[in-house]
Amino acid sequence: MRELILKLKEKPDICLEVEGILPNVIAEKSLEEIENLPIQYGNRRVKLSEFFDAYVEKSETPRIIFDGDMSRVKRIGWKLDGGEIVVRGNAGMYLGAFMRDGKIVVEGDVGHFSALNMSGGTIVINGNAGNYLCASYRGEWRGMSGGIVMVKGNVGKELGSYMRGGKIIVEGTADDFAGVCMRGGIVVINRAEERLGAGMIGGAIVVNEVEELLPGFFEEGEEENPEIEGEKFEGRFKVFSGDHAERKAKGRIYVRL
Amino acid sequence: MKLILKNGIVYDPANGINGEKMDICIKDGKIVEKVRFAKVIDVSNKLVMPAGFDIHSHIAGGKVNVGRLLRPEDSLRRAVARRNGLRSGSGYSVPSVHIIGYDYARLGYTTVITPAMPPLLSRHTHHELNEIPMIDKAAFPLYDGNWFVMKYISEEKYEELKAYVAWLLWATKGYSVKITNPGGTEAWGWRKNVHDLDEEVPYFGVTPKEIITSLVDVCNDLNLPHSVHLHCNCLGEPGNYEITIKTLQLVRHKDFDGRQSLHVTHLQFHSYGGDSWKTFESKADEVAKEVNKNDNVMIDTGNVIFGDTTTMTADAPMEYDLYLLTGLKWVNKDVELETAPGVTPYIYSPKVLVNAIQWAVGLELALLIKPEKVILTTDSPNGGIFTNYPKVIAWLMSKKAREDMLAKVHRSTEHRTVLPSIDKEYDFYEIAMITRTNPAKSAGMPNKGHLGVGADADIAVYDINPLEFDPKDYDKLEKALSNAYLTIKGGEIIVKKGEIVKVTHGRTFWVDAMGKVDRSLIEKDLDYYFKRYYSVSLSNYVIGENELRRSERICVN
Ligand SMILES: [Zn+2]
Repeated sequence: MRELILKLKEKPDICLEVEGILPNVIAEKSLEEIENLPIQYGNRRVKLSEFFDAYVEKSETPRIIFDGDMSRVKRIGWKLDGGEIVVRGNAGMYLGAFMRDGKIVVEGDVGHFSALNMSGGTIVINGNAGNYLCASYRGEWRGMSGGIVMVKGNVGKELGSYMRGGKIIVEGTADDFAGVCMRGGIVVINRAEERLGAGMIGGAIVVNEVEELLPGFFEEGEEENPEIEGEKFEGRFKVFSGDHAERKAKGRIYVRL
Repeated sequence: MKLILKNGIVYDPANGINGEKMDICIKDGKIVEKVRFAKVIDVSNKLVMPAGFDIHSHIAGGKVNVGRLLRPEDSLRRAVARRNGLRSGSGYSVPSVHIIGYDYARLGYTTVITPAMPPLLSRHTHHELNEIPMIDKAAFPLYDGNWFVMKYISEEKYEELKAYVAWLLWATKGYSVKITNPGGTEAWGWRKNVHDLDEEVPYFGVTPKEIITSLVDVCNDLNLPHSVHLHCNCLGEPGNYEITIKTLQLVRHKDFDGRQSLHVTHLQFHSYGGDSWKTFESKADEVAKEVNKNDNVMIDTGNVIFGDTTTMTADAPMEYDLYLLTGLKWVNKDVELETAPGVTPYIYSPKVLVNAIQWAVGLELALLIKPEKVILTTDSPNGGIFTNYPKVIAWLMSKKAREDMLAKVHRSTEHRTVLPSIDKEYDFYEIAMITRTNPAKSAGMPNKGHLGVGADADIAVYDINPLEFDPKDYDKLEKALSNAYLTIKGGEIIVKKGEIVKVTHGRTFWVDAMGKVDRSLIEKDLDYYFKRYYSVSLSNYVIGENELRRSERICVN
């Protein structure tokens, strides 16, 4: 096993797209082959080595380490299906989008559309995330179906839209429309802004603090140490069902008391 | 350019050629008897047919574009990069403009008709058609919910109706009369639909039966190349086979000296029994019986392909009903005095009994109706996108292909259909009929769909030896038909071994019957309706011939 360390030479003036730079792809390749892998630079295809210094080292798991500020590097871990990716810094848009398996750890912030339509694996984000984290692709009504995403900081709008399964944990604040149109899965948020769970018909949202809920949510009473989507939560919660603006809505919002 | 295709195995049903080894000579875009000093291409042991002709495929216009807007996720499923001088594009069930042309050419098809053009949106439609490369095309304007049509029918003003039909073809640069759910789309404006041939449309008081029969007569009197192109009432509803059979019977006695009096489209969606989704079953056998008895109709199948697609019809109430079933996003549009289309995604799943039955019904119809009356379509993209035609052909040519699919669909399918008991397998001659000869004949394009002297040199060659074809090898067939070995359009080679080698732009066919009518009869009504109701003025409504990239005016006398 080995790991690949990619040091960004300098911050590019336009975004790079590193679709295809995955642990399983580099596993069998020589350093030279790796350096020649194509990445996208605007409308041009360039070699990986044009923007990154690459080093290979021994490691327990197949791994790629992106070293530097990657906020202008898009599609890190796009369609990741195994192995590990570490970003030592911020990451650009589409981090872990369509990811099926494996693990991504980001030390800084991530851009919009990260973990889009994810179906498996784990993502840990130590900073903040942009809009549409764990959301469905534009127009798609079959959103995230599995995997776990943990965010230490805050997240943008439309967290987990059309989510069908999996789990999202946000330790900070989620902006408007978190869990919009959810069908399943569970979203745990410390604090939520407006329109939480709008249009949700399934799944559960657990929140410590929320300003107000939409009128489509009906109060269903209180629960002590509830089991939600197969997981025990400690404390007392007020339970709401909804969003009854939709037909046959079976979504649940648990607000900590 | 002069060409000889040498030693191909040729199927040309219009000229009775059934798998003969022969040479095809081409000069100046036409098939000729003989040609000297020509480039010779050896196509020994390869399948040679006239190029494909698709009489019903939604390739341009408002609905298609709404489908693209409605489904950005469809573009994620397929993206084509720019290369070799070809344009880029995206979209699986609603592909972007240019790749539609490339896809048809690769399939060996060179003529396509977009079958449901709301007249008010014909400018958009033509400008989109102008940009579709490779193929010849035409558009059927919609007449079903049209206020002029219903007014003249209810007032029994037949000459005015004729004049209006001809005028609208001229104004929209349309090819023939399309009616979709006659009466239903206007009733939808009143939150109603029609479910019977004798049910009256609100306000106008006309019935579907009157709309259909009047327009059938008009098409005959005007001697239009194609007949009325009809999407029957009650599309997709359980038990709708009864109204379909009644509709077919409307023209049983309308024998216009061998002229086809009606084209019934996507018959698959209109051949269902049962009285609910629970009792839904195939009535393809009953409908096939009626079609076989009826000398005056042609049908196209509207086969279903399993998978994710985008439905789009000028039948808004039906699209709304579909939305109620699926709960997915949907669009309805009211086109002023004319029609009401709708769009919504749909997923045909082999494990859903209704979908499996629909799949079977399409095949049953093709297998039970005489091949002379059958045209292969998927009502693209409604039953599935047209690039799946080779799949349907494989099912028709190979009982084993059907059995292999049947093993994967909902188990009750065999009890609700007769498909498992049908042994018929199409041969290449019959396939050429339902994909070439018949559509060209039904559309009334005498230079298309055959390889006789004088025909347009639109030819498809596939890399498969038809004389050695074993129906069990249906995968090979599907592969060969999906990527033409050669596609020749107007005498030019446009596809070689499945790759586009030349980009051409085909003609747009339209019909001018103004010489047969008296326009002054409707002048006052046009003026009044446009001033009073339309959002555009009469002069802006009319499409100039100069707006068509390559106009092909068919004058009827
Ligand atoms: Zn159609």
